[in-house]
Amino acid sequence: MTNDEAAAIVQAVIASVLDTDANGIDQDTPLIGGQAQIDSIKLVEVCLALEDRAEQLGFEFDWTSEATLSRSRSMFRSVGALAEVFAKQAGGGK
Amino acid sequence: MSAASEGLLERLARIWEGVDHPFLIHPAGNLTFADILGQPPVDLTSVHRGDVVALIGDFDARSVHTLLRLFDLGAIVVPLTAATRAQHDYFLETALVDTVIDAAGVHRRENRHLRPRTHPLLEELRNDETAGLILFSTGTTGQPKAILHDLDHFIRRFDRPNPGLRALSFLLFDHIGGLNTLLQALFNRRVIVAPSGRTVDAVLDDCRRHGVEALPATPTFLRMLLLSGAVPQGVPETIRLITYSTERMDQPTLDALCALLPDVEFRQTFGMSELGIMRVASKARDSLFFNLGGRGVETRTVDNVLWIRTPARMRGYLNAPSPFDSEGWYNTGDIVVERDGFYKVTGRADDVINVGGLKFMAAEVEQAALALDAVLFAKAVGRDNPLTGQHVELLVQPVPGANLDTAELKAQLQQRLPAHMMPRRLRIDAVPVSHRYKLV
Repeated sequence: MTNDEAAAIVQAVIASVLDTDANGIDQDTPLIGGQAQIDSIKLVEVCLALEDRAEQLGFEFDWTSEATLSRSRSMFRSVGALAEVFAKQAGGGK
Repeated sequence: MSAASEGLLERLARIWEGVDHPFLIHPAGNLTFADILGQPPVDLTSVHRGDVVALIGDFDARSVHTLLRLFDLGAIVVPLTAATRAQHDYFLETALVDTVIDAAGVHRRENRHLRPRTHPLLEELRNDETAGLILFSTGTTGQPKAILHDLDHFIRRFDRPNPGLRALSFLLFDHIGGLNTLLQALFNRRVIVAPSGRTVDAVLDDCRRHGVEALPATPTFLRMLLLSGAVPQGVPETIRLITYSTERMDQPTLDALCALLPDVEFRQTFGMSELGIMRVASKARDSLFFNLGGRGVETRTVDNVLWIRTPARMRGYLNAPSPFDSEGWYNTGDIVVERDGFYKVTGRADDVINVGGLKFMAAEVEQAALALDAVLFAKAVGRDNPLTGQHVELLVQPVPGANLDTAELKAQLQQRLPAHMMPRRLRIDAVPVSHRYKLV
């Protein structure tokens, strides 16, 4: 899976959780901080939905373990950052 | 002759002299005390005071006879059943068992002599020259704990006669509640009825046929009972008392039962193997508040958690550190609300969920789900995450035949729960129930 493919999945999941369309969401869309359009509990839902998506794709998406967090402290910074971790765990990430 | 110097078997024989009704009504055949006394005795010549003896048996004449004789010999008894056979090796090792008695006979464990081991708590009991009882906990995490009780403490409560009601019992031979039921019946000439099945229909049918007066149940069984439509017409008039325990009861279920069965007393039970048997009194039949009594039982709360101190507490675990503080208090881990000296359990200390600093009990989420008509069981857990600390995940089992999807469930829960308590993942599936305490 490429980072772009992962970003498309993350964008679609966010759109679904926020019940909006994916057009206004791009790789630079912030997920945490003052600029973020999504609150932390919605972001939890996004990550849980990504877990489910990963399961369908045949891998486990880990966003809670210390190991993952210490490797990528900024994974929740933006859509692109989250997508990169998702792609890497899927066995891609180019 | 004083009760203290008289053996148990002798004492019970005197209590049952001239009485010919059975103490146990069982689908496989009734049991009278004469049946116990008439048993060909198992050869216990190799068993000595202070020996640890595993007795693999059940509520049959031979096992009960042997159990009473082992107590009279001053042995430390480990009652086991065939149902836990897969764990017996672990149990025998942990309890440092010297002798095993099963259907085939008496076996001395030879290998023990190669590696002589003992435990300070067993030595303490031997020095006190009292018989003992070792029971295994059935915790869901970690290895079962070996709980050592002093038999004198366990038996002392039977000094005072307590006639009691004709009760249904699931007869757990390896459980403190089961042994308490057996000894209560034997000391007080009570009758216990073993049910032929665990379904609502089987239990009600057994109650009707045998004139059962007291029905011990779990909230799960009582919810099934309400759903079955058997209340009130299908509940036999002989039933005067229904007790419930082991899981948290919810007020709507209790209210419904109290309204439909106005002549039945409802009482909560509360106990743990570590603390021996305690007397529990509900504040009222429709109240979830209760208090604890019995000889020397003391209670207090620390940060809303219930602590108990009782002289009937175990001597200790053989395979874990003591759970008592230096003054003998035991932290039950139950979060309670206190009112006028009565307690209501609202959850477990480890069931507190903290979402972004807002704390609540898993049970509060479960209750919101259980309040929906289509929901039979609900299990909420807090799961750690790096964003909000924790979030709620909920597993729901629908009432048979109900149509329930996650979208509808979510919509309904949103009307009942504040945002931080909303489950962020919903699953609809069978809710697993641990096999032994959830009896009916």
